[in-house]
Amino acid sequence: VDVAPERVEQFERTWAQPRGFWGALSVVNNQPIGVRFMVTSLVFFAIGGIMALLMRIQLAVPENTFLDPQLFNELFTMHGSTMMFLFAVPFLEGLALYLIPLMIGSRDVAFPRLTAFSYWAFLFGGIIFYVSFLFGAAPDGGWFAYTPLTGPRFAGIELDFWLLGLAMVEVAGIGAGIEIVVTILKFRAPGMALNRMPLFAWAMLATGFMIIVAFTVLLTATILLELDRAVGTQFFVPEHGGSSLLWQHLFWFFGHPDVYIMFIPATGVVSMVVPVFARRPIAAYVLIVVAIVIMAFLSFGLWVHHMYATGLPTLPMNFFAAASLMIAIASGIQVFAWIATMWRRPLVYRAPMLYVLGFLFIFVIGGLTGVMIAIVPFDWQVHDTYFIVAHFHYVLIGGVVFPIFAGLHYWIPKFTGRMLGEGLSKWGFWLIFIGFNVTFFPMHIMGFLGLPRRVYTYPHELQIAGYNFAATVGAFVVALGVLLFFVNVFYSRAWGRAAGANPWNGDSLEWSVSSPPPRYSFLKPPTVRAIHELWSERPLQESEASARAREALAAAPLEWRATLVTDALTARPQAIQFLPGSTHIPLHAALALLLASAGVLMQAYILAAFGMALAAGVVIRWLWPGEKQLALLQSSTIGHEAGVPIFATGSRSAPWWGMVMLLACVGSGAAALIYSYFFLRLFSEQWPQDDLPLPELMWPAIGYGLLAAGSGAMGWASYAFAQWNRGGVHAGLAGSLVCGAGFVGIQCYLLANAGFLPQANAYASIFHVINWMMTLLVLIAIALIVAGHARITREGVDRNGYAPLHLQLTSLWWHVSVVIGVIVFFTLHVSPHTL
Amino acid sequence: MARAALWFGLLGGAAAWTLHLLLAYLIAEFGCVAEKDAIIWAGITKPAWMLLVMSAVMLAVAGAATWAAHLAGKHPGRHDAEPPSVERYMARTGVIMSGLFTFIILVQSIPTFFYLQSC
Repeated sequence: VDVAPERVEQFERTWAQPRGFWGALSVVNNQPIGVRFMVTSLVFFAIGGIMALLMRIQLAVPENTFLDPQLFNELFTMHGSTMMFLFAVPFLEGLALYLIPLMIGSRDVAFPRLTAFSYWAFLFGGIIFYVSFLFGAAPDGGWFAYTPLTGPRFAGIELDFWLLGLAMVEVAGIGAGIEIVVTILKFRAPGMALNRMPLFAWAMLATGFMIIVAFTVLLTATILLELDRAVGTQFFVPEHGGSSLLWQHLFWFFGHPDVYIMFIPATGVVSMVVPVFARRPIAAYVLIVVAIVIMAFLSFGLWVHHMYATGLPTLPMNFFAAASLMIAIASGIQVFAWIATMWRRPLVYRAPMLYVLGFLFIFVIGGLTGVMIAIVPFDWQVHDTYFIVAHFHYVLIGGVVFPIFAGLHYWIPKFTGRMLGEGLSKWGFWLIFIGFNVTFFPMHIMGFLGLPRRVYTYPHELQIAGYNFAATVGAFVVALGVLLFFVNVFYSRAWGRAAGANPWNGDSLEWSVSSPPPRYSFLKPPTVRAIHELWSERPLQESEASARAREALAAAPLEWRATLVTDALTARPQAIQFLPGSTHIPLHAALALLLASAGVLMQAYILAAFGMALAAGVVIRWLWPGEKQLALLQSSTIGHEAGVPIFATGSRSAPWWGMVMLLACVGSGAAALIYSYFFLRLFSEQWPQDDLPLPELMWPAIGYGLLAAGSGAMGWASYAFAQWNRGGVHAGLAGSLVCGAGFVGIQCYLLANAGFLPQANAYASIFHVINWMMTLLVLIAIALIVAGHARITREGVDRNGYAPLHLQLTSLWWHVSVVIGVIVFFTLHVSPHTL
Repeated sequence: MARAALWFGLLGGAAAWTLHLLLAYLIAEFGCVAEKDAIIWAGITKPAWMLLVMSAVMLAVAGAATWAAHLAGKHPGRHDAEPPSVERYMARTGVIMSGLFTFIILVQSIPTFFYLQSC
């Protein structure tokens, strides 16, 4: 890139990582944050693995006393929770946060501070999980935490550690999910239309959407369970009208997609590795994309297959059995596409490819047993036996861990600039592959012979001691293989051969920059003409607009971080995005949430409220751009030079997409609550339960009418802005503010005079909680309006500022709140009178 | 219009499947619990009728989406909705995806025929 050296120096200063410990805490750039995600999750992986070894020692011989039953319960709970929540998903998110900008030709992710916040929330969530051991209160309710065993009657503070730690991890996951989706949709290099996107990016795009929906439902469920435990609501307490089955529905609505949230990115890794080591473009690119999208959809239609043994009506179970069988089509498409890519090619048998071949072998076995247990009568026979343990380890280790190791061996040279030792890598692979099969294959047989899951020991008479002993030996062989991998990483970090930019002759954009890459990834945004860009010999045909935008961005801005925003579909340049530099704000926000969680754990609710208020304050500070930043952007000429605006609005801007994704979260949470309402109602003989009064109609109608009127006022404010009418904007905002305040006032009045508390029964609980949710939504809208007033006062009705975007985002929030409000009104206030 | 047809072809099948599963689950779960064995016509229960009609509608929607994607792919770039290469890609993806979802809806409708008289 033809840029003067002094300019490059200034550019690098702008993107440099702050020095020292405090500086490291303020980093928001995607590369160090991605590495932190990966390293932290690998530490949790090692801890989870040690727990597995302890359990295997206990089970090696019959009637063993190495562990007592309580400790065994704690270990299998924490092993499962760690691997599912603290290892697989965060690792893949970290991998994506590091690689996606490099792969799609961006300089960073869409919301760098959100990335940093997600990391801190993930770390603190993991710490909450594990601090429980120090207090002698490790969670013991399984990674699924079935009620009523995890409710207030049967479980103590250990479940609060689990729920609060999980809530933090979920918030982190949702943040990373939004980040990944918006980055992929809006930050792709010019030319990288959807039909040229790397398959890992496709996989992460689908995964991001899934995280946004699935994690929000789990977050809602964990909040409801924590309310049962801390406040005394009755959602999952059958003797007060609640339902234990409701927890299972909500949990598995998250739990099954979660398997695919791990598996789909793993397939993305495989789709990146296979072409490079088969030296051939990927076969059936379109079919693989279709398979990814179908899997993402279908995975939400399978949750009931975890509940075949709960006594559900047989007809709905058959729908889910059919869906469970159908997902094999999507998996099969991918497997055949990879085989077709490798067909009759002299494969390069380096470590990444070996792990991919291991994945294919193991995952196909896991997939076949998956088809078996999708069939209801078969599932009833093996339910809660070791057959299931064998199945999901074949799927999760074969389908996720092997591709993760393939990805690590493939991309570590990019991350560190050093090659891993090939000999150690191959030894590691064979130990893990052989050890894995020795450990888990016998479990199929043990399951058929009747060994139930989650038992801490078994009698001699069951005649499974040999299988169990073999499984334990295999587990240690796997551990040795993993240990070799870590040794390899540390050794190569110090003494490994220099990797160079593209040691594998890779095809995607990350291999076009140095190893390790510069913090800003690309000085000049690249342009893309093919799926396998670095292998393409097609002549570059670039539009004038694209060339102009790329040239301009290579030269400026030098004093602030920026990247190019492109169209979600065609990747045509649309705007310049300001990217924030290092700051401690994300850490402060996560610490405030940690404080709130600690308050709930200690039942010091004033502390918890203080923590939440502090978090809200930090978020307001976070979102408010300083005078200096605004002046810098307003005075910049980069927009003019690049031919695209800095202050973009609507679907041209990344924050607009961020708000849409956030609202998708809100919608998912609201849908989970509405579903819970009708589910509880269905299984109640009387509704409202226990002769509670029917809900009032008049005041809620007025309240929701006000909410709708507020939406109209917001519309007026937007119209006035378009007409340069500053007074009109203020009037519209003031109108919506008054409507919002009126709604909140009516909500408070109604809840105070409902005649029952949320603790009365399940009806009372869901009635209050849905109303709290609506009130919270409108309070946030009010906060946005107040901020909008302040911004319009400061910036006026100027397009060259943040005011128009702020107004758009506030309107979006308000309008969606009204839509949810209408559904809530009919659910809570009308349906009990009519249905 | 061309752009809408393109997007309908791409996502119509998936949307129809999502609605089909949600409605099938709700009708079966809620209908079976609340109105078990209430035969209303031709020896078929109310939930089963609802399921059959709903499945037929969703099959039609998914099939229409497949056809729309097929038509959009025949003349890419004609309506200038998107660049021809992107339009062709979306159309091809739409045909396969909506086609597969049509098949999946069909398969998921089969259980209803075994539960026409009771849940």
